[in-house]
Amino acid sequence: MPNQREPVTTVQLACVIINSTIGISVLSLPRWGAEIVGSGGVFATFLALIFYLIFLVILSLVARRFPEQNLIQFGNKIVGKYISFIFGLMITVLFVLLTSMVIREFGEVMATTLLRETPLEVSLFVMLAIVAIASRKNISEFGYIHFYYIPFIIMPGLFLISMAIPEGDFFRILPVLGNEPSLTGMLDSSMTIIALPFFQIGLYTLTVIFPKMQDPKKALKGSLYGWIGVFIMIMSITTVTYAALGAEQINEEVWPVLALARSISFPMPPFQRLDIFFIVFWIITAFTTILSGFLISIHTFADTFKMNNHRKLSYWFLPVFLFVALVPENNVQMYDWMPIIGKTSLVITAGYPTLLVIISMFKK
Amino acid sequence: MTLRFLACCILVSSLAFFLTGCWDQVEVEKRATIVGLSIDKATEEEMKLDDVTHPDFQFNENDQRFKLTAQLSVPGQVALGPAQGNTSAEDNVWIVEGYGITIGDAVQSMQQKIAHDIFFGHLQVIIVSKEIAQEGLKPINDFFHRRSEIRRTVWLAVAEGDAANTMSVAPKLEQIPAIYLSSTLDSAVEMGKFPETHIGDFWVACASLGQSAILPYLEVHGDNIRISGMAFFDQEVMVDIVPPYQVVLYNAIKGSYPPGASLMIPIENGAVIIKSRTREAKKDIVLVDGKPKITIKISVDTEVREKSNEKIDLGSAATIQEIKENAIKNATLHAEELIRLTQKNGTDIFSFGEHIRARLPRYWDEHVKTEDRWHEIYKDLETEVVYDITVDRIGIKAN
Repeated sequence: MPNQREPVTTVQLACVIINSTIGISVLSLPRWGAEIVGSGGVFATFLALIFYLIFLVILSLVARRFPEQNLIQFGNKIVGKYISFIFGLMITVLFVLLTSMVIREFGEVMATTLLRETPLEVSLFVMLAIVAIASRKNISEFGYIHFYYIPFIIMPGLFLISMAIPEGDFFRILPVLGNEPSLTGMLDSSMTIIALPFFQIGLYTLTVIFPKMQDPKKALKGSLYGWIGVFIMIMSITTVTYAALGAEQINEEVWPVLALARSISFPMPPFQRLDIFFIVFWIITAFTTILSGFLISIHTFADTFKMNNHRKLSYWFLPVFLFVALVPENNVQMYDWMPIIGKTSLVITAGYPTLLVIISMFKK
Repeated sequence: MTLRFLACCILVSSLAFFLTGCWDQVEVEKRATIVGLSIDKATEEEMKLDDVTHPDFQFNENDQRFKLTAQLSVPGQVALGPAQGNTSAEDNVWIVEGYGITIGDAVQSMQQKIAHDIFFGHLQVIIVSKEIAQEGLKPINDFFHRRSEIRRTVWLAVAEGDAANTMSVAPKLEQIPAIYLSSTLDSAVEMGKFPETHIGDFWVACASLGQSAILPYLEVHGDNIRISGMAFFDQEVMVDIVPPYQVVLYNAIKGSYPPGASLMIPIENGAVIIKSRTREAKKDIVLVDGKPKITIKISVDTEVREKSNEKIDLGSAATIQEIKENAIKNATLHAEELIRLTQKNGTDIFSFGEHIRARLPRYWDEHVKTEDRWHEIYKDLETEVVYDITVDRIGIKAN
């Protein structure tokens, strides 16, 4: 067992960001843009990633200013105990909701494609059980877990992209701004994309990781590396999906990226169908994202209530996640709620650190 | 400590129950694996016998009547590797019919006749009769699009006459007729004779605003099946057929890969057959007096495959030059003919509309916007085909 004090390295930080961000929601990602701005969805995703970078830099700057302190602790310093407590509680609740949506999305993908007879409760419980066990580890082990899983996420992802490129007609991603471009439409869709749970999960894992960084000064560098990884993966998956299916067809798919994986046939008989293989790959991406979301929730909760250890909370939180994840009746309802929950929480998850930065600038 | 140990034991052993995936285990023998499906129009009498999803047969004027004929592979019958002894297609496949007012309804009527759960995961080909295609494929698309186990690389084809009959033609090369059919189409794509138009591509073309869909058109010739062109669609409703020799030109205009189609080029003393080796197409789109004009620049490298008689001197540069000139003249003529054929119906199978939407977004936003409007504009779209053909291989026979 690694030493509790063993710090997280820069490379591990980058891995954590990539793994936490690339999740099961990537399957539906192209649809959120295509619904509003058509072929401009690629650009909307690009904008969303730029916003993501901005928030990432803000969080990294906050962390650099207060090394070895977590969000709640430096919140205490800047805005006082009570406000920090309220925000801590709010962030916990929001991340329970957000992560539950990801868990449910995972469950929906499994139930409609792979495990048609298995009750949803069971596949969700098994995933949550594994996540809960994994979340009992300390942060440096958390870094190792992500470091281990990174090839299982990057390699199949790149393989999918390279197999799908010949399927694409690249005129389908033009015009870049979409037909009948409008600024509000573009901002609206990029906000919807950035409000998807996995971006916020990716962002907030930083608050958990930073206090345990080997060299807090390198935090910014690590998060930039992570962002580049996320950028390359998400942009190429989105672009290829748009090129192969076109915005109109993307609108007709619940999971456009899955549809893309199903349009590819590998010219080697036993491996002709790649979709099942990719669902297995997406189980891993779902696991890493859910693990991060789970950890953020229990960590923020533990910090808010000044507990010195988050590990006791793992099993207590499990039923809560399971319960919330089972609330939506079907994937239509889930996808109706997801942007609402996401946008609401984005106001707080992005607003609070920004507020802290601004106030701390005036305080000095 | 012991309590904790006990709790751990219970948790771990309960995982053993959850992780096996037993809910979804299906024995291969207990699956009714459909490899091919044909869709025809059913008669009213046939319909009355087969009600499963609804009470007494109530025929509505607007209802469609589908007759589904499925080819199921019989487990254990299909030998891996070469067939041994006297196995005929009848032994390897099992034919089941179903009737209904929708596809799902007809599948249920089929299920009523099969003990095991119908499984579409290995479906290779769906054939619809021309009659159904002319009524529109919209009611068919939904069923196949919604089910996740159906591949998007399934072939969807239109058959002249009876679809069930087309699918039952049993050639000698494969043990299962439906698989032969899908490999026929697959190889046609590989040889550059036919564009890739799987069901997924068909859906994409149907959904796109500036593109009309195409599907292979099949005909039965005695014991064989022939690809006799390309059926094209106006929003899922079949309009007309492109004859086989023009499919080559369609491929050229689209610049689809791989090349490999042959054309016969008449020259002074007879004719030669040339085959394309590489193919490239570039589309220049400009606005002329507020209207789009598309110039399609196609460059092809070809190889001479045959000359029709001894008078043709393939050893002389002048003849090669003549072949080249005539090939350019012919190909341009036929390509323009093909474009005119589709323009007559307002069906843009070349996805020119998508190119205009992509490259002249302002024009599209001001003048087009909808699919119907594009079809109107396409009828008078100005196009120009510029061919550049080189004859760079003659073969190993000297004159």
